[in-house]
Amino acid sequence: MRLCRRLSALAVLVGFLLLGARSAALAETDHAGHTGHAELPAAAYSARSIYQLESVWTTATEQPLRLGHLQGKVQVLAMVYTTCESACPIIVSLMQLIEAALPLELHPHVGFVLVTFDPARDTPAVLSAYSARMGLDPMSWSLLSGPPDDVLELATLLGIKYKRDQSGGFIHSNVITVLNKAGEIVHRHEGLQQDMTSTLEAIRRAVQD
Amino acid sequence: MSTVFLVALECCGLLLAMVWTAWAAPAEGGVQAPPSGMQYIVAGVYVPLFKEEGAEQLTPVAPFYLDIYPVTNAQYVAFIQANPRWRRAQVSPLLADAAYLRHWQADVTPPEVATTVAQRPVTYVSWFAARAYCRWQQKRLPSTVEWEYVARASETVPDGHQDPAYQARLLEWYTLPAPAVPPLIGSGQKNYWGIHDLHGSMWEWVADFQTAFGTGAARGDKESERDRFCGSGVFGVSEQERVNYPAFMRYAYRSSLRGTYTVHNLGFRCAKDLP
Repeated sequence: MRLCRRLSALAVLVGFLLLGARSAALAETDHAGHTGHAELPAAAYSARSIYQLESVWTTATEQPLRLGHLQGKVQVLAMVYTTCESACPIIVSLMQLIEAALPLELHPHVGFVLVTFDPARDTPAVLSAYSARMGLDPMSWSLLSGPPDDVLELATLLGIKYKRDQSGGFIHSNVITVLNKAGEIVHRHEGLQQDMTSTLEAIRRAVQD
Repeated sequence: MSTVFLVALECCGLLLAMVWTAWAAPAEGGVQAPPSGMQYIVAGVYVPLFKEEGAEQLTPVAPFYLDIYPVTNAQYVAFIQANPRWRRAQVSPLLADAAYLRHWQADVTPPEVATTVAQRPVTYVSWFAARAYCRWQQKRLPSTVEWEYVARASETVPDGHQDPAYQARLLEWYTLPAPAVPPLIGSGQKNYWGIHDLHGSMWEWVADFQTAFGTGAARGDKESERDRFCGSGVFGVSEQERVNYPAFMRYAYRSSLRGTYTVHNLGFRCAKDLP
């Protein structure tokens, strides 16, 4: 009970921090808008960092989040959607396998991120329920939805193709991406093979860097 | 039961699209003037190149504006002058590969550009760069469906597939090797919609090139390839498109692209939603 209360206090605090960050982000965008070019800000991130993206995402707890806030931890990231019945649950379980296989001392340095292909249906509430159903630890997992155009941009950066199919689902590449602490792509696990050796090795190296 | 309902619903949509076409077409002169350098494209329907089993044959296309010409080097110079981070020396390797703007002799050289390539389409630009340019113009890249819908027109009719002579000429263009440097804008075909240079000289980026799957979504892939994609739909080529080799070539080309690629004969033009 006490832990629960402490956690919710923490959540509120994190929420405030994120809200603050959001107003800063919006101010920047507005400013850029006035000068006639809504462009990325001067390189605060490395040239190869995907954290250069300005897009603002929404977490499962309905907090705004820019990818740059993931900086500082190694992130294991995949794009999925919650109504997907074939590949996505496998991707998520592969990521859970990675999490379980990580040595304990690495856990605080590694985060897990799921970004939905289907922001129309995967609302924060849906993502939150999905997270609970899959048993994902909210302290290390972030589930994000965002505007369709931003989803397309991120997928393109990650080399992921996707297309809505007739049944309302998506045909998509199956890729788990490892980002180093600066947000640079250091490893791509393509397909659904179970062998996680090289992915785990990439994470371990990225934590030590 | 529900299928019948859905089909009925789709039919209604189709009918609406057709009614809109019928209504909008004669009123073309009366429609709000398109932004400078753009043409108004009337709503219609597009037959997708690939269809999923059980999918509708026709995709409605909403009305939109499209640039008359591809974006030129001169226009692109203005863009990078206003947005220095898109200069060749500054662009992020995440957003464009090493060949970005390699045909320019220096990082930004308006005089050189003005004399030799100013009025030629800009090429060696990535999808991210093309998208940023269009956004800067308060425009966007056209979707595959929009591009193909407009590209279907011959000089005289919106559906050039009805004209075997036009189809033959089109095919001939696509079998010729691309010129090393794209020709001046306006030197190619002007089609029914008043749009120039869609065929014959170079490829163009579309907003959703990522939806063209080269592998994985097709039957007969090696297992190692197949499980890189999630998709149960079996694709079939629509009957009407069997003869449309140029569209196949474009599909195959798009499926081979990545967002960072820059190529000597790959440029773009922008589209815009109606106000």
